[in-house]
Amino acid sequence: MIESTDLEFFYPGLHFKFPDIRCANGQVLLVTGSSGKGKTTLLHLLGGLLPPSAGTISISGTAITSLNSSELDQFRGANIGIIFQQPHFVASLNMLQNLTLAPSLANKKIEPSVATSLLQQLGIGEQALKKPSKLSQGQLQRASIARALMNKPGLLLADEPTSSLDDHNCETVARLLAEQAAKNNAALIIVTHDQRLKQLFHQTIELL
Amino acid sequence: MITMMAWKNLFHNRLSSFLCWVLLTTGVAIISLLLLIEQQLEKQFSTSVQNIDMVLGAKGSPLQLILSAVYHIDSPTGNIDYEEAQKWMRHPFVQKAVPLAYGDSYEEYSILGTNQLYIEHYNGKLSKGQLNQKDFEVVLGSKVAAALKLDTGMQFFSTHGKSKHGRAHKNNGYLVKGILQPSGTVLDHLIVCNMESVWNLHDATSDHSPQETKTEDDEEKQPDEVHQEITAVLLKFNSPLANIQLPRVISEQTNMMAAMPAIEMNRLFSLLGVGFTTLQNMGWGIMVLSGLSVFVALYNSLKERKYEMALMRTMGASKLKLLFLVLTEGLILCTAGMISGLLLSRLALFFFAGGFEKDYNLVFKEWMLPLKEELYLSLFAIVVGLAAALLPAIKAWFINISKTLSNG
Repeated sequence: MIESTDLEFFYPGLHFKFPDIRCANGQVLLVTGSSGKGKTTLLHLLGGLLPPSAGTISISGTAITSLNSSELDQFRGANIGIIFQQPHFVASLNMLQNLTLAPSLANKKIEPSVATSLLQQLGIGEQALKKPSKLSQGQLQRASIARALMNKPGLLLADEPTSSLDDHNCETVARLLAEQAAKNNAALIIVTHDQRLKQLFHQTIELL
Repeated sequence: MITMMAWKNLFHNRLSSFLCWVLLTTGVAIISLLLLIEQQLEKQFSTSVQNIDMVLGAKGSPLQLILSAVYHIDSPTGNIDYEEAQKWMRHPFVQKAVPLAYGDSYEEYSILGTNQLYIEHYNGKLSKGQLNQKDFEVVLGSKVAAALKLDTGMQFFSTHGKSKHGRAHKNNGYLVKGILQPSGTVLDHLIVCNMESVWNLHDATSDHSPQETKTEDDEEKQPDEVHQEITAVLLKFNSPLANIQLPRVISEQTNMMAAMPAIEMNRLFSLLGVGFTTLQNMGWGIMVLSGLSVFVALYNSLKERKYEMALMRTMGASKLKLLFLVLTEGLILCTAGMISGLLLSRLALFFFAGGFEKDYNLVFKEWMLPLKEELYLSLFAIVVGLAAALLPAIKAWFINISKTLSNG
């Protein structure tokens, strides 16, 4: 469950005023808008990567806007899974280690079996011991979904998760994302300008 | 996890990590090796000099007199008259006086004519046989016995002077009576007999042609039939006053020279010190250079890993964790370089030790043990590593997550 009220953000020379957002656990919310409308900024605000200039955000009852920097780091690690437009991984670690990095950094118990089963569910089980540089874009995007799910977060945020994928991969990744979110009973917010996703998800907010 | 990641990252950038490690190893090894050699030389030279306050010998270079009479690594300055030397040996300030008469050599090992005090002075203990009593009986230092495979009861003929191809004295053979235990002093490398053996041998072989005498070492410039000659006297005083008085009186009243081992060795070390200091500075320079390479390596890899770092922050890593990650990488590199450097210096010394022993009668002892200076060296290596990692680590601390991820 995530709720935001009266969010505002100032960049030098730029002022974003965002509509209130509400997404319950198990629901999917699509945030669309053409580029330059502050989609990524909104996602970073919701994920606690950027402090808002005004307004409040509450995730599962915690007002993250009132946490300090290290509390926020911890909260984010434990409760929020983020999938980025470009699937980046730690280059020196293999996929399995990259996945178990998430619980390790959030000070949670490391369970490699969870990582392997997630990779298998997402269809990239054979890639577990390979380094990120050996995987294709589609495979990496799936792996980043797996990584976001490692800590069983209550909130999943996805920033243009399908923009670099072809039609076939786009649908697979989107379905997997929704499937896994539902399975974990997590609130899923996808920020995108990808028209293809509008056909799959119906709850939409458009940034103007 | 942080340590594991640090290792993985270093291994990922193995070429630059390798360069840092090699530079650090070299720097640490050079400094540590010099420290070890300096310490061993000082220890060795000072054990041999123990309890010798002054050396009396023929006029010449005082340093040469000390090197020849105390350490047996130089040729003697000349001979002095035994009767005249005895006046000083009986001086009230003198507690102990050991006369030395340099004789011939056998297979490049010196045969030294002296009295029983000499072996006592170095705490020499017999491992086999007994001490020499009669003329032409000798006691062997442990290294001599081992190197020449001589045993008690065996006989050998000396050669004239200290070269391998000198003329052999065929008329009088030396008889090995005893072998000494290893003492770690010059004694290990000497063949000891009484002074009469040296005198008698050369009296009996009065067939020295003047020409030959000239080409030989100046140890027996003028074979004197009447006066018995010796090469030097090692003296120990019972009063500190003697240190000031005797050398002056001797140089004024006699044609002999008095040299103080402590002063001469200090002079030698201050001469050697220039070289040591230069080399050591080079070592420190290399270490600073390696610090720079650690810095560049970490800084460059941080540029590539900025996105990774931001990503780790989104997964809950605190700023402190990232700071530690970078510092750990620097620390691992420097610790590895430090350990391998210290090991390398010991390995090098192990190979040098043989040469030092052969050429300078120096036996390295306890060189495996770490020195106090090496503690400072290790601390310095670690400080270099941390200092080099500090700026990249601070950069990691201040990564702007949102901005980095947006631009990724």
